[in-house]
Amino acid sequence: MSDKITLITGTRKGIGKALVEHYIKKGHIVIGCSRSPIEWQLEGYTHHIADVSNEKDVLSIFKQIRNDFGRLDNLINNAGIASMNHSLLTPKQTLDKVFNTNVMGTFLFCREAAKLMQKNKYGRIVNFSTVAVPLKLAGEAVYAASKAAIVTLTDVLAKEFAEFGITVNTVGPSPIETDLIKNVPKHKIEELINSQTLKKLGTIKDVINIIDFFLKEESHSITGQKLYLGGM
Amino acid sequence: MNIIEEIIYPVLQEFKEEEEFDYELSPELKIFGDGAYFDSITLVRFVIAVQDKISELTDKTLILATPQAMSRSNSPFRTVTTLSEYIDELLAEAK
Ligand SMILES: NC(=O)c1ccc[n+]([C@@H]2O[C@H](COP(=O)([O-])OP(=O)(O)OC[C@H]3O[C@@H](n4cnc5c(N)ncnc54)[C@H](OP(=O)(O)O)[C@@H]3O)[C@@H](O)[C@H]2O)c1
Repeated sequence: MSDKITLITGTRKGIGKALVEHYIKKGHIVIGCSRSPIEWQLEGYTHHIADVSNEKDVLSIFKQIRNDFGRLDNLINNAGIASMNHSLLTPKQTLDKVFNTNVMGTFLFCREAAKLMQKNKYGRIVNFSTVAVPLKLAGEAVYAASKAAIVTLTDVLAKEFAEFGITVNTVGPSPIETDLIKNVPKHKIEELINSQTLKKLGTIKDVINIIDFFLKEESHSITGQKLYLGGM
Repeated sequence: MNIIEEIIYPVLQEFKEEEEFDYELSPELKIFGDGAYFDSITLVRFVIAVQDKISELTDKTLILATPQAMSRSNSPFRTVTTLSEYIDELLAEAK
């Protein structure tokens, strides 16, 4: 079996960076992207400066993958941004940014990845949602709506891609200490955690565990699923 | 550029070999629609492959399955000839 080719978005820091380290350790060839340059390097990893919501940027990443490897096995749509604010205080620009990154970015990567994956009749795609969707958290209307859109997108793509041997699933992390939530007030996070079945923060390891499962070859019958951390 | 010989036939040949279709390559070959070889999923894969071929040969990214094309009463995907005329049109527009 040749090395798996794995594409991960949003790899400069946080969960995305940890995913790169994990899959490099597992022997995958990993390709990633972020809007700003990275301050680290790993053998077997190629970085692209790209905004996931910019179609030109996305197409150029896939052109490179097609030229270098001619195939893609795994896609992890990790890039995402959040916005925590009362909806009455939320400008349209925030909607544009959040939906462009989270929904548009996820869609463009799924579409281009599936074009490549269908040639081998094999592919694994994992998209990122959040527990804020089932918990319907006040103060996260825009972020949660964008992540709910990702769940629906995943469900429908799972159906459309099924005949190509491509599975599409969603992971929904509970709060994890990364930059994404560093500006959320402590009491808000506590409130959120208290509404979960498991009253604790999530960890990056928990997310990796779920993604490992979705990416396994043996998971060929698992598609259109949403796995939330923390017990939803 | 000869669109039929250089773009459409090579892709149809690839599909013929990989999917074991028993069609003969000809300008009248029916690709999609009544009495045609491809079902809608094969058409999707065919369109992707043709788009790839075009961008490989011309460095242009064409979108063949636009909503307009799909809603044309005379679908451009009926036969090899109609498809080649349609690609010709799009390539001219993309200049
Ligand atoms: N941490 C949590 O509590 C939590 C909970 C639930 C779900 N999630 C989800 O988990 C995913 C990762 O979150 P995280 O906590 O690791 O966030 P993070 O630490 O803020 O990292 C986000 C990453 O995405 C990249 N990124 C953002 N916008 C991008 C764009 N338009 N194009 C390309 N890259 C972009 C960032 O790099 P650049 O800034 O350089 O572009 C960065 O590498 C997100 O989808 C998030 O919604 C996180």
